[in-house]
Amino acid sequence: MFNNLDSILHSQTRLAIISILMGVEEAEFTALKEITKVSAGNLSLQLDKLKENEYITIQKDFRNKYPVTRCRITKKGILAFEDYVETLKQYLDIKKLNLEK
Amino acid sequence: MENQNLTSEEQISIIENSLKHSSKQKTGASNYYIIWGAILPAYFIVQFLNVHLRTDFTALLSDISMSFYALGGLLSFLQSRKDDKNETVIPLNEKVYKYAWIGASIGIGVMSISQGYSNNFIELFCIIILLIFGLINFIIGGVTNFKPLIIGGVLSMLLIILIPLSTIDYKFLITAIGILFNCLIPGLMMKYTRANV
Repeated sequence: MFNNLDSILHSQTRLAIISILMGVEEAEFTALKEITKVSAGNLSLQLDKLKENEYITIQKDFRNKYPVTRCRITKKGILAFEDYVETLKQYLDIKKLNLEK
Repeated sequence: MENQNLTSEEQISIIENSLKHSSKQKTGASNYYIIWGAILPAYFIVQFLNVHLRTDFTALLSDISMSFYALGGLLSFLQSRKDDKNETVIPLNEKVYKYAWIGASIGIGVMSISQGYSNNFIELFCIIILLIFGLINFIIGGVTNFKPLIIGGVLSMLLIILIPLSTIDYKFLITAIGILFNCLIPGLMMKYTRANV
């Protein structure tokens, strides 16, 4: 049998955020907003949820008097993403088998 | 982007698109390659002219040329401040550049301090500069998949063969050519191509 998909990552925005953070050292809130094309409020909500589950860390500081929010993926987040992709692969394999039948 | 239940295909497409976005992020290293790829050859060409022509003017230029390093440092500092302002995403490759060039700076610094112990410092200096620059760019080019850095690195290391065979003035010229190959040319190619380096 295959595992259940991680409910934290099973959301379009959260999955996109984690996938982006997998490929970079860190990303600022403005960059994530631009890439994911979600509203600031929604993005903030999804980031908080990922942070609560320790999938990402959020660092807030100032640059030229303007606030900057930087996000990084944690080890737990990397493992969760890898598990998620692995489970997804299993689903796709089953789907493929069913189609072949 | 709405939050909703997703099909497997949609999930794969989200992951693919997001990873594609991440891999498109450039490091901004090209600016430093261009700065130092211009400053260092200029320094070595001045040394070449000074030894080759031996005029008062070239001697004066040679004295002034030490300030090229300060100029390079200042331009790098200004560039890093500009990068800090504009960079909203830090690509994974950035760490490779950072650690490789910090290592190189330590190596070159230690070598400069130890110049008093060597009988043939100029030859050693030119060889080590080409070796360090060549080796670092070869490795970075391999890691980031950027061929001009690999080729420049190899050419730079091959030029080392000529240094012991040439007179002191040409040692400087060969070093300048080596740095043009492994810094300035790849730096310009980084900046003006779509490569994600």
